[in-house]
Amino acid sequence: MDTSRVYGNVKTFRSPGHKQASFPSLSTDACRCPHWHHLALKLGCATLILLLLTLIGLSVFVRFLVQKPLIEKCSMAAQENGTEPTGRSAILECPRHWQPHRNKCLIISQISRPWAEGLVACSMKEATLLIIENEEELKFVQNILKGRQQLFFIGLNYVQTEMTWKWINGSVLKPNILRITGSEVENSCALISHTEVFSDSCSSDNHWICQKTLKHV
Amino acid sequence: MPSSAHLQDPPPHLSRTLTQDEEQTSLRQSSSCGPSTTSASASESLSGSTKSRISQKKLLEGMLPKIIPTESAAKLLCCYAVFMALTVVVIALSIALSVKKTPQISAVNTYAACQRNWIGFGNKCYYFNETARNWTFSQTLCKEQEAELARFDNEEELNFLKRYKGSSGYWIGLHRESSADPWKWTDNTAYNNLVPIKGEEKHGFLSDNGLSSGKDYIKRKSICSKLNSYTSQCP
Repeated sequence: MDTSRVYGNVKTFRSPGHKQASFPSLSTDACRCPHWHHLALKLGCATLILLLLTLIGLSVFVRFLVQKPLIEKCSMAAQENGTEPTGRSAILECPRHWQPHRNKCLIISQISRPWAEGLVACSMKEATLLIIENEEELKFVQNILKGRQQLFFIGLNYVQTEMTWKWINGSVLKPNILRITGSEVENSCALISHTEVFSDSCSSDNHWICQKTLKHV
Repeated sequence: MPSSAHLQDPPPHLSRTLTQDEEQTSLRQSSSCGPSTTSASASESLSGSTKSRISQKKLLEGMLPKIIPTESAAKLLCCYAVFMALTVVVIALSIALSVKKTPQISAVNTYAACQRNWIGFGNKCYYFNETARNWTFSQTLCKEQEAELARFDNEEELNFLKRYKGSSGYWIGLHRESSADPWKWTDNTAYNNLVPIKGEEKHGFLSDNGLSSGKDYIKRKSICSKLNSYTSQCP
């Protein structure tokens, strides 16, 4: 009697308790895990972002340090292309690296030497030092030299015996074509820059300009 | 009314008595039956309850590990991998930076830094003026920067200047009173004729063909130089 009663009580007690417990346990488990995971994910993402930013900063810093010690000096362009004039349609064309201008081809030397050596170097190319025949040609030449902080011998020197400047083709310099800055003494040769024409010693080292005349067939 | 009250009283009494009677009858039946039958019924009821409980537990256990751990494990693995990779890279970069700083310090000790835009070589700093001016004006500009037109004291310095300047001509600090006089530096100390100076003029410049001379009013680029005071201070 007593044992049977106790058994019955236990039965009735367990079954409803079990049923009630099952639902709350599921809901509590579901609530806990996602919340914790969300927090972990947020922290992880924040840390990853910090690391990425640090990585980018360090990369930039390293590149900056590597580049800083380098010292580079830009070498001047070997030859600049001036504005090509609408010259005649010459039958002959200028050789490679020469600059055409009307019936002439011009080239600038790559080295500097005294005037006499420049004259010889031009003749070896079947050319002569530059002879400027008019004001328009002077402007063209100086335009080619724009941007160069250099000086160039041309085919003009001072003849002491005649007290006058002469071109190497024997003609006398006309005052209206160009004006020479500097002294008029023996052994003076003319140098052209992008703005002026100077008188310097013929023994000085300078670059020069050669000209080659085109002849029509 | 008393008749209604009388009617209401009997049902609870009747129900109570009935329940008691049923219990007594059930107990009697069990006692009257054999022991084997009673044990069989008890075991059946126990097994049923335990089966239901076990099945529920199994469902719970089966669901949880299958769903939650796999997803979280995958995410965690991804995060760990990325985290470790980034950490390693950051550490490597830090080490690279610390290593690269050291040689710079040693470089400073041997060739101290010159001021901005000046170039150090040996115990001197050099500045290359890229605007063409006459010799006198070039010297004036150098003095404004507490320097002089460039001076070289040995072949290494001369070769450095030649190498660095390119193909243009640059004024330097050599000059003389006339073509018959000896060359001097801007501080009037004598030139040691390390390299002969070509030409017949009174002002020296560095061409791509060595040392040459020209008239002072010719406009050329120029080089300034001054002693590197930092190295002189070093013991």
